[in-house]
Amino acid sequence: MTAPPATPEQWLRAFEAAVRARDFAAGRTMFADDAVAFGTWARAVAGLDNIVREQWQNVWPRIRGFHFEPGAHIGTAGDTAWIAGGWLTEVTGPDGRSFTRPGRGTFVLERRGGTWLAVHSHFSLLPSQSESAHGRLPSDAARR
Amino acid sequence: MLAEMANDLNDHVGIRGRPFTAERIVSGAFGPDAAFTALVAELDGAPAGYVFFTPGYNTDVAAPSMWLHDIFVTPAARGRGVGFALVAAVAAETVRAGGASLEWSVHTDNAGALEFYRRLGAVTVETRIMSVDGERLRALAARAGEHDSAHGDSAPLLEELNAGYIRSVRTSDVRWFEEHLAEDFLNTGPDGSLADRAGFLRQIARQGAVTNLEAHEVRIRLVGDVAIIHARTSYTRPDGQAGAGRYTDIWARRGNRWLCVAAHVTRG
Repeated sequence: MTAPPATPEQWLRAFEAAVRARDFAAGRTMFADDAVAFGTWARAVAGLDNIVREQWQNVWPRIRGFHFEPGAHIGTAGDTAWIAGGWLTEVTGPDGRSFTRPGRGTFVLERRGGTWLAVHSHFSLLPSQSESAHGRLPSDAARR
Repeated sequence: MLAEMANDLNDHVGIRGRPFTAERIVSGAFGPDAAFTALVAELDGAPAGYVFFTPGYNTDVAAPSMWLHDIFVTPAARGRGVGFALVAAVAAETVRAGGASLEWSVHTDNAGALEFYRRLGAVTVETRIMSVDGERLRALAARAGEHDSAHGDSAPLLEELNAGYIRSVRTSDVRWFEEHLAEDFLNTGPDGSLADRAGFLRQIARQGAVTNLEAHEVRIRLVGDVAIIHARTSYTRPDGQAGAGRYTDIWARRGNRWLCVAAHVTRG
């Protein structure tokens, strides 16, 4: 059993790993049940179950190599922290070619019972990225 | 020797500075205004550990209690019953004084101490001890009698700050932002730019590309000394078309003020 992230930075590294592994169970342990998410697929979602169903399950299977760029800003105030920075993923476009898709992300974390949990997340794509830049599912490619 | 052991205990739990001196021990434990009682354990004729304790009051049961400040056993004497003897002696003193409970704190990562206390029959009371000291203590004392404007009525104040933020974006009010942005502020702009405080103030000074900016469905959530304000927006694009977006603003209570520490704006 992996120990929960002890710092906001460790939380960010663990979240990146969960996204890359498409490990929804791990991701669920890192968000509060009452979290709110502004996403790139779903505009605004409240509640962890809805976030997983409406945002993560529509995006994580389509992307590869998700990571925040070095130098993400991390601020703390007691048992609360915020993270803001740029992220990159690799996706497959409609023409079957891979490309890197940049975006921006902000999290607010709260330490509850000694564990850092996200209570709010806000993800956005750069304006140059259309919504189709989420890329194809691997199953889409198989059907071509 | 007592000062040496008390400093060793501080070192053991990661508190630096070794503040105890013989004079402070004499003043704190044996002076006319002694703040605590000290008991020293001896083993084979040499000091082997100590406890500091003070009478207190347990408001859970409305009865006198005893607070154990420190318990320490020298490394050479550990495992020989010295710790048990010291705590039992303080328990006896607590009962003699009519106390209903004996209480103490423990560093949560001190696994050895936690196991020892459980063997004594102690149970964990899930509280967290807060501390304010030094300059922060004096600053807080100086505010005695002052109304806590940041926490007393947080929601109306944050609503006002949110309205001020939107209004100041609309009117390019750099001065308002100078007053309300933290030094470590970071803005994630709708164009994907990441701007620090100075960069954001330069952005504000330029007239924005959108007009008629309005916030809707504003939600304010307090998380400790941090507030998350998020909302949907409507605005008019430069081409006259209606636009929609969302923003997340993060405010932190610093001193007696709320300052915006981060903002993330998305426009569709």
